[in-house]
Amino acid sequence: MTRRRDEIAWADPALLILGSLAGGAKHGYAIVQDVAESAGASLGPGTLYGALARLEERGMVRALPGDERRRPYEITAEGARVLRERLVAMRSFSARGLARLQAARA
Amino acid sequence: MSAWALRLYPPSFRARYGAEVQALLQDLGGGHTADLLRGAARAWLRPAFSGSDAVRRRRQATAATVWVAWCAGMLVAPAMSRDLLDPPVRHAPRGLLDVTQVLFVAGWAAALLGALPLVVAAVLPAIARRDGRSLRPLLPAIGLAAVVAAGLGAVLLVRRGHPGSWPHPSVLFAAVVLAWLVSFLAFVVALGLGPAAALVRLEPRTSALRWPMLGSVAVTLVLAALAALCGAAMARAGYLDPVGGIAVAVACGAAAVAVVSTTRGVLAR
Repeated sequence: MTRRRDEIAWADPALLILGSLAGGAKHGYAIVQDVAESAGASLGPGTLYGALARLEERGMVRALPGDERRRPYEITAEGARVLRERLVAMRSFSARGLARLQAARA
Repeated sequence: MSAWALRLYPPSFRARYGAEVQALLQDLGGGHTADLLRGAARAWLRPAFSGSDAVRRRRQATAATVWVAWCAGMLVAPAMSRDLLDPPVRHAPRGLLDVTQVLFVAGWAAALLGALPLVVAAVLPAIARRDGRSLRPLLPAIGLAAVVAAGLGAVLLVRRGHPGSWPHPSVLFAAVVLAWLVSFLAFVVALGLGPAAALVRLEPRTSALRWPMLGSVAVTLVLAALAALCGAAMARAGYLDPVGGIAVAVACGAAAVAVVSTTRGVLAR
C-alpha cells in the first residue's frame, strides 16, 4: 500500500515505480528509497512487488540480470511512453488547478 | 511474521519474486505484515506472469488450481447422494442425482486422463533421477490412501457383527467410522494439495501441459455442472442439511475459481 501523510492520495504505485525507474535502473530497496525522497510516499514490499509484477507482465519494466535477491529493473520504451502520457496529463491538470485557485483568490 | 505472510503468496509469485521480497524485508526491517497480506490476496485474485516462460507458468498454475478445485468440489456428488437418498427424503430428484453420479465419474476420468501425460513426461523421469524434492509433496496422499483403505477394512470388520442395525449399538464402531472420516478428509486435502505442489516443483515443459490444459477445461465444465445440478437437486428436494449446504457452497466456490483460472490459462499467449 502506498502510504502518504496527505489526506488525499495522488499517486498510483505503478506510476511512482515508473517515475523512479525513469532516472535509471534500480532494485527494490533503491526504488522504495527514491519514491520516499521524491514523492514522500512509502511503498510496502507487497505493494512494490505486486505493482512490479504487473508492470513486468505488461512489458513496461524489465528485470536485468544480476543478484537474484537484489535484481535491478529498468523502464522499457512502452513504460516510458505510458509514464510520459500520464505526466503530461498530470501537468495539464496541475496547471489548470493552480490557475483556478489563483483566479479564485484574485 | 512477515516471512510467514510471504508464504501465503501463490507459488508462482514466490518462485519469481520471493527472494527479492525477502531481501527487501531485511533492508526495511519488520512491520509490513498487513501490506504483505494485502499483496498476497491481490496476487491470488489477479496473478501476473512475465518473462520468457510466462505461458508455461500460467498453464501450470491453471492445471494446479483446477486440480485443487476439483478435489475440493467433487465431494458434493457423494455428499448430495448421502443427504437425499440415504435414507431417501420426500421429493428426492433421483434423475438429477443420477446425472451428478455420471458427472462425478466423468470428472475423475477427465482429471486422470489430463494428468497422465504429465506423469509420463515429468513424474516418471523425476522418479528415475530420484528427485526427492519434487516428489515429496505426493507422499502424504499415498500414505493417507493406505490409512483410508485400512480404516475402511476396520469399519467393515466391526460392522460384521451387526450388519442390519442403525444406529449401530457398538461405541467402537462409531469411533472407527469417525476416525475413518477424519482420515478420508485428510486424504482428500493431501490429494488436492500434494500433486499441485509437486507440479510447481517439477516445472514441466509447455508441450507437456497441452493435455492437462484440455483436461482442465473438461474438469472445469464438469465441476460447474456438478455444482449447479447439486444445488438444483437440493432446492427441488426442499431439504437443507448443513453438510449438504456446505458441500454445495464449496463446490460453487471451487467451480468459480476453476472457471477463472481455466479462462486465464486458455487465453495465455
